[in-house]
Amino acid sequence: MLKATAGLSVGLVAAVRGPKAVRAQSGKVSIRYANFQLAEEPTGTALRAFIADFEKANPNIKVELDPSPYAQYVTKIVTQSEAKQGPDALLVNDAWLYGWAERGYLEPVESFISKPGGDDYKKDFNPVNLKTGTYKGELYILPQFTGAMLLHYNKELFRSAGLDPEKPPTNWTEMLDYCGKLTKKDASGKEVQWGYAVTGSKETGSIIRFTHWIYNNGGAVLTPNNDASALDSKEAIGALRYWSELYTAHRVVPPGPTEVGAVAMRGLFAQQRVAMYQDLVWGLNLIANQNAEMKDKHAVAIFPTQIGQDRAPSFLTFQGVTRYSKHKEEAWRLIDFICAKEQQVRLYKAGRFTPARLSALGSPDVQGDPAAKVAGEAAKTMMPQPPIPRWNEIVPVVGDAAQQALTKARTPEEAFRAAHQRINALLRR
Amino acid sequence: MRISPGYAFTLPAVLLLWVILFAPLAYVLYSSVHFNVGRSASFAGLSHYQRFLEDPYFWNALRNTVAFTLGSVVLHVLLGVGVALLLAQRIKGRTAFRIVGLVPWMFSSVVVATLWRWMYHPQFGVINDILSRLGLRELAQMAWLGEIAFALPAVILTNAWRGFPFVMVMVLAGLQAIPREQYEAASVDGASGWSLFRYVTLPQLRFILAVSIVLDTIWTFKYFDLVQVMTEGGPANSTEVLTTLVYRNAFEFLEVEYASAVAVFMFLVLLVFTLLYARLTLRGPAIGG
Repeated sequence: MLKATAGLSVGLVAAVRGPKAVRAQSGKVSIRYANFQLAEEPTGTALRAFIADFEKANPNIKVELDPSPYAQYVTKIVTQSEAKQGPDALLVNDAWLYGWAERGYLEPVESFISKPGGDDYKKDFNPVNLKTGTYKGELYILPQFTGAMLLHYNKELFRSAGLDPEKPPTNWTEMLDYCGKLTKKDASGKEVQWGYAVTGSKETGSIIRFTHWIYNNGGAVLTPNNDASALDSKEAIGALRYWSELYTAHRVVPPGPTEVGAVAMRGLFAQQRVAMYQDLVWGLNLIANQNAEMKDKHAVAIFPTQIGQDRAPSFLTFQGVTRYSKHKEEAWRLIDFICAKEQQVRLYKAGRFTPARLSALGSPDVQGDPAAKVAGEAAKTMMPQPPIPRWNEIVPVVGDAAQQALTKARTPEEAFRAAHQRINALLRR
Repeated sequence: MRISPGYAFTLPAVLLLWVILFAPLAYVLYSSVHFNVGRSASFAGLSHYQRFLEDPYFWNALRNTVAFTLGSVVLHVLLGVGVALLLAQRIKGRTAFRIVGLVPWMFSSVVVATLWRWMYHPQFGVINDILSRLGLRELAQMAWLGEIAFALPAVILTNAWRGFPFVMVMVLAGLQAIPREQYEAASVDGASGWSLFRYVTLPQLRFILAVSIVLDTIWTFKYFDLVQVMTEGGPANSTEVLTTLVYRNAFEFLEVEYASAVAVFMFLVLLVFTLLYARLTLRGPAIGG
């Protein structure tokens, strides 16, 4: 009886621990690859095709896919990594990178890079991506996509409002003027179309979009050393005032901006309810997927700026190897394959994901697209996200201040001065 | 040494319970008094708990949690008792109405949150559409979940709709257990309407209401999904509750140790209500008369 009980108990413990993360079956190494883009299109189809090609080229490696959707991705990776049961290879973006590196989820990749050619290998990657991927002197990832925010606009709505569709706004005075002309009411006086979609939701992407306005007014969230808040500057406060007043004073944006995130913003643009919005170049494809009619009406331009130069916040995507992987070499081979020039060009053609590899970015397949030139121009001066793990905590503080200004709970000055103090307290902790 | 076979038979279940219930709890407690858990852990004492004192987000979330719990439970009881009293009447189609009354309880919180989020939508929501048809144009532009003054009441209202059937079912069961003779005797003594409810129905429901309120308080205090899906704690933290604060700290800020301390605080608060519930149920309906 006791033997049976002991056997049962051992079985129970084994069941709770779960199967070993990596199983060797007839000499094959099995690695797990997590990427939320597997659950999206067109990336899901493209990535599956890459992985089939990779398995064909590496018959001793089997790749198990973990296609968690974006909404659950961070929760899942953090939970698994805290339990030291993370995937072998995974997608990382710049908003998560430093926290994950600091917490010990990621394996530095420098030692792997030395094999394919070291510095020569690295030279083919966008330097901003490489710099962003470096934390405490170590490169933690392999860059996949680069991205800077652009102004997306509807040429047809521009024409209807008497605006030249080849001359989008370049500064904030023009922006407000255009927004006013593009905001329309129906016969009953109800607003049915707005100039611009302010993204004021709590999503990280919305808040990073808002920082574009701070940067393009000559301000910053943090001081150059990233050791103190810079939100008390007149440039930062001026940016919040201008941005929030698009809603609170001028009413040229749809109601409820604190609920508008990336999905809602694209929905409003695809339905032609707003004439302008802020997105990466791949927004062209995402909008066309929602409304095919938009294909010929949709254009992109450098985002309006008050300082004569665009300083778009970066939206970078990387591939990494996890520290707890038992097959780091195989995981590295997978991410090296995914980030190869050929794959990056294929993904640009499939969904306009701007390559982080310079050879891919310069290929005729990419450069033949006029939108790629605008995206490339914006990428030259983009602002990388500050390389500090606390950035993840600072972003929501900026977002709270933005929401306070949008809901008039505080004036822009009060909101940013409170956020300034809060960020400094966070950085001192 | 001879071990009773009874203990041997229960050992797997005890182990399973230990692994499922107590191991995570022990880990959270451990995590709440350490730095760098999972790497080079060092003892932190009560420093994560001391952080409560200086963390405005904690106090804001605590205030919101109390308001959310109080508002939800009060509305659950008022709606639950009210609808149960209506459904206890001998009316045609009573069974159908009882099933309809249970509908909100049948949906998962995420479905309810998504449904109501659309109903509250400033441009496409049914609520603003109705307001617009009524000629209330200014109000019909309102972003109910996007305004600090309205977001928390809107979430509470959604939770009231979702949760009242639990109280309704409990009260309905209680109403059926009240002997008819008590109403007849009270009627002979001249009682009617409100006085019948006040002096016969309510005293008989005291036990059921007490259990329902305690259970509902426990469930609502630790509610996460409804708030997360509807507002993610916004705008400007006006709907941030303790559960969403724990989530943000653990998964977004990777402050797992501080999140554990907040979770332990919640556990201690809920332990009080759990002990109250245990006391109520062990003592039985005697307290209700």
